[in-house]
Amino acid sequence: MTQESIERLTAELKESYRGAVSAKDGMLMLVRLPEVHFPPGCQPESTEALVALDPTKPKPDFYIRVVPATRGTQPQHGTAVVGGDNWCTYSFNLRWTEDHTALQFVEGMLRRFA
Amino acid sequence: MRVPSHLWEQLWPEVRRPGEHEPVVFGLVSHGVTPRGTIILVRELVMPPPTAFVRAAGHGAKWTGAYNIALLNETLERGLGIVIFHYHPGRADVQFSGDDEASARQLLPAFQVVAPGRPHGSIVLGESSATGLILLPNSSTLTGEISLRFFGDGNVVTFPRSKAKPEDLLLHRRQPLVAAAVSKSRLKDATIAVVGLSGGGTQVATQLAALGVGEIIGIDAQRVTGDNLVATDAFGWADILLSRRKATALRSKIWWINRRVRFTPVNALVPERPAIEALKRADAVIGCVNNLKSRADLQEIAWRYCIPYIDIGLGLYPLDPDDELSEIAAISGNVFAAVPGGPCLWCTGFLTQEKLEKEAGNANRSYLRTTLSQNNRRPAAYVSSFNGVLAALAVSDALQLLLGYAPSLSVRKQYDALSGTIAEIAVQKNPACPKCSDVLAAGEPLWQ
Repeated sequence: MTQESIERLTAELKESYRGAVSAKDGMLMLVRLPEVHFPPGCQPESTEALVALDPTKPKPDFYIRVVPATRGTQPQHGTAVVGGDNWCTYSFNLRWTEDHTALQFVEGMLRRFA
Repeated sequence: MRVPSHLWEQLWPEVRRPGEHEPVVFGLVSHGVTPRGTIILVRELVMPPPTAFVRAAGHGAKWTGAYNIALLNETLERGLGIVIFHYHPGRADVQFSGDDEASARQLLPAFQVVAPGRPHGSIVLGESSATGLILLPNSSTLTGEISLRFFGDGNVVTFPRSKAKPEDLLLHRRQPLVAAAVSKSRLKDATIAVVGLSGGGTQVATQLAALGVGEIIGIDAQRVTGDNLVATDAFGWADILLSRRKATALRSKIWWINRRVRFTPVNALVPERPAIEALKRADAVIGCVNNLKSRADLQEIAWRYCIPYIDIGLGLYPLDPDDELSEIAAISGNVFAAVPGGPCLWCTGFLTQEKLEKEAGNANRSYLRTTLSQNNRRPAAYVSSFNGVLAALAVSDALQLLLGYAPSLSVRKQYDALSGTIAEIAVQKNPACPKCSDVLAAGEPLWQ
């Protein structure tokens, strides 16, 4: 991702999600979203999320605080330390390029639980 | 305040360099918050050029307003705070001068206006002490309650040193392993986190208790199982019968060894939040975990908060990994002490992205837990004694960090259990290591 894309995506996320904050962490730009909503049927219905924008990667990394249960079962997931904090990771092959928006990225990643 | 070894090696000679004015070095700092207080982490040093200084009567050193602005712009851009370091020669118990205090009271609030989210400070270093004033984020009160920790050639030094009689200090300098006043007090003041309370971790913890380490934080989420009994002597049949958590069972054992030692059980997995919070306040972390992913997490947390990290691990390697009845080709272990500013597990190639992906079965790392649980179906092995060797080496490294009885820690110890030998492998810092440049002393991100 180019530096321009990182700046654009950071601004988009802050605009789209109320209370979103960003921080530089080494080469990464981290954007914390206080609340993202899972698709209907998930439990819990929402959680905190983190978007990591890395200039060496083609698309952002997405982390959530809690992995929801869908239809009573929790999908496979792992944990990762990002920005010194513990986040949940999961695998989802979202077709996203720098031409798309940050909102499309976040909401697309959350479709994993639909 | 914590200073990584590579920065201390620059800072200490620079502030003592004779010159026209009192040498000044600026530290760009991040920070982290623990229940015990705020940790200030020196991330980078800035040596002002001679042209930055102006002659001023009554001041040891004075620099131009233009230089101040350039420095503040840089800290703002990087999301860091500023700590001014200088040195007063001669006195062991160093004091702030009236001019030092007046300057700090003027400059630090001005720095805070520009970068309010990070701490700022002014520190004067002496031969074996440090003092100064710090202005913490969201505070308008300057505090003088500071201790400075730096990492020397394999050991940890904290200024101000605890008070001791001259004869006790002399004895400690000459015979640091003698259990006398200075050594006892350094061990009693230390907090060591032990992560993974199975074969290696339990034996590390019991040895630390015998040494009189003040607080041991034991981190493990699992319960004692039959497999643990052949890997360590720290658990017994009753622990299995009662289905006790490892951390809870170990607390009882530690109490019987040394009831003055505080054992804090943390029933959590790394990197769960309770584990991270406990690790942040440790003086050293000893990782006794059985996978690379946890090592990577521990190395990350240790580097972020400038904590020495000692890693141990033991592996049994069959000739044919796919044959459950294969003969053993090797039983080998590793002990490596990573001191902030020195080489890390990534520098040495012990951790690589390829190895982490391979460990996760070449799937996304989120599937690691499943992969590991499949790999762990092998029956338990009788490795209590081998784990004991590695535990003893790790505790010796912790002693070296706290008491400094040996010249250096810049080696990785490789244990060959079949021959019963230990080889020392020299390790070097990789100047291109991304973890050392991006994570070391990064502290908590500054959200805005």
